[in-house]
Amino acid sequence: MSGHAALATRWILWIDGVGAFLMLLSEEVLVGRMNSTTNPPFDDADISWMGNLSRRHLTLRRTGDDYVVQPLARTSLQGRVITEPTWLPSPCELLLNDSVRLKFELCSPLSASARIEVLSNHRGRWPVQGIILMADTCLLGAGPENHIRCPSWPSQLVLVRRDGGLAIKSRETLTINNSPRSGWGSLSHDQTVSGEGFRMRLEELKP
Amino acid sequence: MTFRYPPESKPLDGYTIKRAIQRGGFGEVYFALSDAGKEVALKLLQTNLDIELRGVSQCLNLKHPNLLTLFDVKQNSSGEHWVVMEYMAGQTLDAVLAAQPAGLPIAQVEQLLQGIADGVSYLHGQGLVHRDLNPANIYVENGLVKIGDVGLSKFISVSHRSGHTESVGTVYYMAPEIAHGRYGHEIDVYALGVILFEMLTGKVPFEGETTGEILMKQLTQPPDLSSLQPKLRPVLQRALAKDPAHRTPSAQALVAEFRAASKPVVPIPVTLVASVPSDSKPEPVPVFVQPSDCFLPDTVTGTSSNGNSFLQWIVDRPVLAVLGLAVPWFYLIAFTTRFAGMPRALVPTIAGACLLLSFIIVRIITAIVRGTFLSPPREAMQSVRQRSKTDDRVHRLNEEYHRYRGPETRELDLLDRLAEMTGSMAVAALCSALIALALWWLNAFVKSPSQATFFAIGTTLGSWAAIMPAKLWEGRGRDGVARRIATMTLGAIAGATLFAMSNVLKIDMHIECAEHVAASWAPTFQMSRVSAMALQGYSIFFAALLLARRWWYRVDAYRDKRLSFVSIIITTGAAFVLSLVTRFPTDWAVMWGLTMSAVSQLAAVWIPTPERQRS
Repeated sequence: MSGHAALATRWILWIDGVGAFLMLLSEEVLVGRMNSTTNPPFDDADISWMGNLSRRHLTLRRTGDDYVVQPLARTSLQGRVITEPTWLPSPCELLLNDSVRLKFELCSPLSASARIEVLSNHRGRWPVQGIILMADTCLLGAGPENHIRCPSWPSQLVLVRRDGGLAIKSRETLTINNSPRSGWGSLSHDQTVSGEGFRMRLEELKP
Repeated sequence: MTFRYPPESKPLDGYTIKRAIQRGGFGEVYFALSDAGKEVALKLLQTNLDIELRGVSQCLNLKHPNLLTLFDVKQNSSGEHWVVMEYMAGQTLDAVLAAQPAGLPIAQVEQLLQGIADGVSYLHGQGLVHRDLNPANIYVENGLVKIGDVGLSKFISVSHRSGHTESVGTVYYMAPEIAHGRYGHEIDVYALGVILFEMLTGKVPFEGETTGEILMKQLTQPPDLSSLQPKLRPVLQRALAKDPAHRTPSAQALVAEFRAASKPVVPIPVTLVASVPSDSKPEPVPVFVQPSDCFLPDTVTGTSSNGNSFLQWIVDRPVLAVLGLAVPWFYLIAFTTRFAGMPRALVPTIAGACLLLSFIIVRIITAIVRGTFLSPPREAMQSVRQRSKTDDRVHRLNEEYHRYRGPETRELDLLDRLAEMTGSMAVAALCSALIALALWWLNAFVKSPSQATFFAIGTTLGSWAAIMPAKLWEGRGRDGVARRIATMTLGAIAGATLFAMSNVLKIDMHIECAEHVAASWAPTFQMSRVSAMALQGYSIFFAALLLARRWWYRVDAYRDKRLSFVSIIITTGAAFVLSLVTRFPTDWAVMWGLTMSAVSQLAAVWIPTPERQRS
């Protein structure tokens, strides 16, 4: 098992039978338009979609347990145009330039992590089902309190920031890159985690 | 659920697996990216390989927006066969249904059904039968529906929403004739019927512990449609018919029938030509439609008002027009004759006559504007019935509709009508007496035997005024204006009679209002100043109350339920408002409104729906 890697800020979690999720670990993320003019593609924004957006459309900043949206271009929150930094209620809907519709939600009262889903028909940079703004923990399991809903999973998994890296915890025995673990298991990039009835892979997105 | 290939594996040259999506009946499905970044679904064929390969190659070049596109079939170095397919980012219909276990909203059902039916119709048009339509291979993304597993369906697969590999899956959607080896396009219609049922209720029509039990139910047991809205039951009954010859003929016909039934309809059949496979003969599809959709002449919708907007205004607002004509006449008669020498009881009769005459004039104007003396919907319905008489299937459908729902109206001969009317009137009198007696005994509202008698007479006369015209008219069309005027006239007479009774019973209702009403509305009236309520007060209040409500709806034998509390509350509210307008004593007005509504509903004959079908 490799040691802790320096904590990358963007990951994709590929989960068999469930979907893919973009995990963003920084306090502040930039949301905007996908850039198609460079090769290889490079976006200004941490989260980007093809659409009629600004390349830097808004920022989302986590302050303690709350999130604040700072509009940089035309943005509506719950149907009202906002121009100032505004606290985000949960759940709420953001509309970017009357085109991209996002749903923001804090799923669990025990975690400051938030989930963003795209409600409109727009293609993002990554083929993901949701975006997780990860504070300290990210919950994966069958119930609605989980940031990532995995309907057929028998038990819950917790992803945690730990010792400057990411770690995973489960009541069941896990296998990380073919080596069994119980309790906590540290994660580094491009590792496959599997257990009873599930398998997933954490892929680091290079800047 | 574990899958053979982990993320980042490259079992097929040019594609990298990113994650597994699901395990279907024919193998595992993975989400993969091509080297150029194209998102695809890779299906690893694991069972019934030869047959599946034949099926897939046959469907490889089919193109339809509601079918999942097959890009290619490839074999890797290990000899595994992979189908490269379009990737849908949304959910399967299975997941959509699992998230809404009580069923989907009607509008969403309609949208999904249309998409699935379009895809199925295209397949049928190509001479193909899907054979394994079920929610697990229907994909939904941003409202767009796509059918998957096309060409992969020669065998019935075992897949299930819960992901348990051992549980039964698509037998829930298996048409009965499959047991006899018949695989016509009707089996897709049957599966579509099951899916429609599931979308509406959240459950499949036939459930069971084992495959055998479910298959046996599919073969023998009629579906329990009681959880569906009544108007949708015939549609599902046809779609789930055991005999394919009696089943809804095509997927598009099922959509048309569902559309028609999910709107408020009257059972008028017309013949539409559905979009059917191009290589087959177009088939007339009978559907129920609303008369407002097709049959109303242009004049009704105002498109050919030929410039005479005043006459059109009268046609559009018959009640206002009748009142607008009647009131000036009444004033004219009152002004010119001052009712000289007339008995006071004649005043409401004159008012009724004015209204009747106005009504006849408005009807004649309506007939002239519309170019017919018959009401247009009725005429249009007749012409449609004649037009479609030759189509046996249309009639069969119409009969089926009636069989389940019962007729809208019933036919009665005069003797039955009179017997029912007088019976209801007797019950109404009895109910009124009992209510008055109970109120007197409780010392609530009525304080003396004479007041109780007076109250009972008021309730009786009021409910008779509601019951009599309704029963005489029952089953003879629904001309609201004529009914209202008749009921109102009887109300005025009931009021006048009650006034006479108030003198007999020496009822003092402390009315200062009758003079006020008469003074402001009818300056020529000579008010009788007894300390009691004046004749006009009674007549106006009862006439107005009987005019205000559509009493015949609530005393019709085929009303939805025997006693409607909502109707009682509305009538009581109307009585309250009218008491303020006419200055009739509010307590008496409200009590009469309440008891008249209750008594007329309780007394009038009511036939429950199941008995309507037999009667």
